[in-house]
Amino acid sequence: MMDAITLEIYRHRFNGIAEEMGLTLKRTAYSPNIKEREDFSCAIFYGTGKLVAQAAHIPVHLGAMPDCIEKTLAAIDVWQENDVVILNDPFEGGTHLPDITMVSPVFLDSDLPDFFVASRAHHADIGGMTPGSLPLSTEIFQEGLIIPPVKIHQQGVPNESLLKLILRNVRTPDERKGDLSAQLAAHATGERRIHDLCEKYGKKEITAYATNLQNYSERMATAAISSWPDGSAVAEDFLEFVDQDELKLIRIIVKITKADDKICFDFAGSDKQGMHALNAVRSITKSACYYVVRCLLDDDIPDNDGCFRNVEIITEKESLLDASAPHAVAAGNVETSQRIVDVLLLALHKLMPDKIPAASQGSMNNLLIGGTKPNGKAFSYYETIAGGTGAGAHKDGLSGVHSHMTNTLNTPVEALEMNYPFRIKRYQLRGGSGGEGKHRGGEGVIREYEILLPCTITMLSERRETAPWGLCGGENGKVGRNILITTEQEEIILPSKFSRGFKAGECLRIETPGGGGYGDF
Amino acid sequence: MPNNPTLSSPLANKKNKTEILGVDVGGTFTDFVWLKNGSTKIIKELSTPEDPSKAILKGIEKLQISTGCELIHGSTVATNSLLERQGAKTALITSKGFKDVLAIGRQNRPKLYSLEQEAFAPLIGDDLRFELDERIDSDGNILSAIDEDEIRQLAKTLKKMDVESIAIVFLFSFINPAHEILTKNVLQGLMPDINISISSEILPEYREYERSVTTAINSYVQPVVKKYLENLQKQLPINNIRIMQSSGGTIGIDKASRQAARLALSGPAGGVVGAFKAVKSKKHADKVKLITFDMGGTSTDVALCSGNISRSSEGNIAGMPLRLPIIDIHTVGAGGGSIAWVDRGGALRTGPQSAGANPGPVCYNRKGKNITVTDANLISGRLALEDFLPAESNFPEATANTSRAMQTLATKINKSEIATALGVLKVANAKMERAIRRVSIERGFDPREFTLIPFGGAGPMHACDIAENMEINCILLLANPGVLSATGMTMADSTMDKSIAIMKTVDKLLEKPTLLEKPIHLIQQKLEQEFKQSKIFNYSISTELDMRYLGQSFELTVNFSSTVDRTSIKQVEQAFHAEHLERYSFKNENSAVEIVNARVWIKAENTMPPKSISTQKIPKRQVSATNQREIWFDSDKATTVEIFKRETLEAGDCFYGPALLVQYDTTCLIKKGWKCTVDNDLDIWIKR
Repeated sequence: MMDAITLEIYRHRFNGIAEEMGLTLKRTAYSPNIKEREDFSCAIFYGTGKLVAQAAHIPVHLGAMPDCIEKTLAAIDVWQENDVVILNDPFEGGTHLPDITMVSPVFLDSDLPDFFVASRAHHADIGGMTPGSLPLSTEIFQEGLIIPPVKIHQQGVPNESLLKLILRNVRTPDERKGDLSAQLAAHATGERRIHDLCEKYGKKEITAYATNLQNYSERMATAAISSWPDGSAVAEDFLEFVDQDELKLIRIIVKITKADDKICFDFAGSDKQGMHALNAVRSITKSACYYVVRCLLDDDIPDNDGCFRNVEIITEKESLLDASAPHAVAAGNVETSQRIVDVLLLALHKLMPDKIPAASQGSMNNLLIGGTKPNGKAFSYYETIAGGTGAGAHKDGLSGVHSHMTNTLNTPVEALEMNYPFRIKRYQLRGGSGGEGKHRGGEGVIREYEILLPCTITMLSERRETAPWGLCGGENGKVGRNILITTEQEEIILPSKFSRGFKAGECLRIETPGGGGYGDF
Repeated sequence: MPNNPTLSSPLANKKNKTEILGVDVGGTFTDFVWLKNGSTKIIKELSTPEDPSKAILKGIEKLQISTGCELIHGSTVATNSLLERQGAKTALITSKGFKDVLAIGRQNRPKLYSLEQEAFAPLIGDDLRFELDERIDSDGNILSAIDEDEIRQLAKTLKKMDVESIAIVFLFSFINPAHEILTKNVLQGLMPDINISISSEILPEYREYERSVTTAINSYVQPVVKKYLENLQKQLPINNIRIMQSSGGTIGIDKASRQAARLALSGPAGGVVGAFKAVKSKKHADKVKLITFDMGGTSTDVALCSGNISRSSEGNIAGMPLRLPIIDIHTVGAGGGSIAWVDRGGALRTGPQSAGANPGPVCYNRKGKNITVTDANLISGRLALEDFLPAESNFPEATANTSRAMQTLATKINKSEIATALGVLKVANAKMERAIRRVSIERGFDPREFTLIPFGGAGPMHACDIAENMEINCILLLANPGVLSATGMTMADSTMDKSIAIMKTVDKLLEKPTLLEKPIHLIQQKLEQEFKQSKIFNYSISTELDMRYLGQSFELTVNFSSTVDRTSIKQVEQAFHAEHLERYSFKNENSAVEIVNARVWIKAENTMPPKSISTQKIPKRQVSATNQREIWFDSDKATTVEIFKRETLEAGDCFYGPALLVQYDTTCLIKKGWKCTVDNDLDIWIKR
């Protein structure tokens, strides 16, 4: 029996727990990526593995976290009190290796877990061929240490050997250790709060309302989807793959069919998986679809399993969007996911033109810098750079913000320079990069790094060749540029994806894409 | 936590004040609380938004206040100029390459899931942001020296543009402020009448965006605040005017005119100070553990005090971070005017939309159509129309309209009218409880050990429900909860604070304690100088450190001793481990600990003697009610409860719930199982 009043109260209770977990993780983490940039999510799942509440800062975790629990449940036979499972295997519930997920069971009074709490955080390094573990790889083994779902705590006892093994395989073990403790602290918070709820209101009520909240989100989603026009539409867009200095475009195509209260995304015909890092596991494709649906739902619908019951996603096995082991997947999470969103929006625009904006920058501009500090300690730094968002039928695009599948903060220049051997020379909006239109696309950003010690830089970016498209007569946004400035002040354009040594005194200037414009001007 | 007096000046000034006036300017009313020779007078005047000093002057004349009286003023001038973007024409000067830091912010978009969203306009527009060719590195070394000619060139441009105020923010100025100071001096020489704020003075802490915004905010509101205060000084026949800061302490007009950003979040500060000081006058300070619960028309402010008023530097105003000390207050969008509605998924919701003052709740009978929390209080019998409507109002019509609107809502969730009204209250309470969790449980405090202090128009009505849900067993209803903010002002201490970046590990400081001692001593001297200039000679100094494990990004604030030596540094390291364990349930004693900032507080305790009240024990007397009313606690049946009138209660009186306590500015609901006792200050303790 659902009660409209109690339902609303439980929304606050469950969301409050997920948020509090996130706060603990952020405040106790060590790597800038988690503590400054908030590249993490925390969630509560029902004992069956269905999502109850998620404090998501990162949309790319939206569909991927539930998949992760499903795989973990399949992999772990026996759950005991105070167990903690760790994993990052993209083919066993992960997305790409730097995203380390932890899952803990919460037992209220039965032998089987009643709830699970989980956290996923992007760690700045997990080994592999280049610092930061987002390399230009051709198979997953080059990308770092692969952790299948295994217990890192068994009945409260830490598995020190496993931890030792993990830390020996990463470039910055102290930071990893700190970040893993932060995730554990978040779990402790989540578990404690669920026990508090149970003590106060009884297991029967809280489990009933976990289910009721999911059904509630389903009703909200059904109502919204029903209000969209029926029909079907096809669109395609491309990723940039540089193979021995030759640009090869990789195609993503989708057919969207909307009928009554159901919507289906069919990616049949998209390219096959390949010998590059742009492959995405199916979880990522789901996240991108969920993100687009979620944007079109009401603002404050609780994020849980119920939101997406009316969404069907069809991918072909062993395709770019449903990759299998041992394919490389490092960039699938961060770049391919953005292009999937672009394709979906382009198709949806044909169904509801005034609701869908032009293309945003379409990249996260992943930059990884690694090397050795003068004191002999290794460092590994990761950041993503904002750009312009696409203009819509009613408003201009935003300038210098992250779009779609990520919303991580920047690392303050002062925090960065106090900790790493490089300096930021410019951090500005890139004037004129947004596409013209009745409404203008947002501007990209210019960020210039001066390298103080020899290091390796890896860049995974997109939209360096194919521009973010405008709509309804609006111009395209400008493509991005990665520029090496030599010690002789010579400027050399680098490709969208590169990994190379930099000498002290060299500079790297990243100019991120602007958003597409909307409407005749 | 600040304000542990650790040092007293030998120049003690023992003379107590005899007269003090607190003035809180609100949107509708300006409240006056006047203490003189132990007696209190309270009046309200209609506010005069076009020139707030008019209402203040009227009150002063009515109370016949002498020029020697000290006036403490809480002003929303700074807050409003930020919310309405009505500040001065302000220029920002940054290091070369960084003028857009203010526009990019932290590069995140405001809404996670929204395909088209409103762009956030930076406080200072593109045409008013300038760069100078200078650069200092993270060790404070000058990489690129500043050219004075370039500064002079810039001055010409600024003059031509009729800039009214200037903010200067250079990278790493918190380590080496030389370039900021030089630029300020050169510009000031050429533009003597323009206020110039430099970030190394306003907020000498790392993180360029937050420092830029805080400095920009100061420059933006400074001319407006200065003009306002000058006018006030001219209009009012009072010499000694002090201004409430967001931190809960007061500063003189001069300081407020220069560091105007310190006023920006001062609105809810008075109430918290008032609650804290009221309880402190009854108990030993260490035992003061309270949660303030200020429920107004559209929002509710909650703060927790455990032995002292807890502060934070993570304020937010108009979508911007303000990194100056504020009282740690959590605000949620739920109040008496919050509108109840049923969403597409069938859940009953309240807020964030509010019926405001116009049309207001349905029961105000001003054509409001939407059920609000206040209407739910009426339907469930907690409020009566005669409590708040003028006597000549059409009561039957108001009752019928409210009932009809509640029926409409009830049909949507398939419940009875009463059950729906009770549901609206429950849902609103859930929101407010989440705010209380934020300041208590989420910060490692157990709310069961705390006293709930409700105020604001609607706080006392909801206090028992909230307390029961949070398992709080003690509520304190102060004598005049409707003017607690102005009361708090009469009790506020004079405080100033100053921070300085340290950025060194404990190990390093143990090697060389002077690296900590010197900067602390420096800012302490500056603060003492400022106090002496304002003729304050009796003060205490306290120091706190922002600390973290080396490699973390968020600091915990830990009290520090007055003497800086190896022993005290070791002690504060231990205190940090303990605090980290308490807040985050783990500590790491093997990890290096870093001291990020030191902050020194100087405080002159408010020496106003408390109300003259007899301290002798008054025999308890069970009082009887003046009237009765039917209240619905659950939807099955109504309960008859007794109504007590606050003005008839005397010290020592006691009575039991269920009951209603009615007074001119609020109504308090006391549920079954709670006992009320009036204490010597005529405050009422409600316990179970």
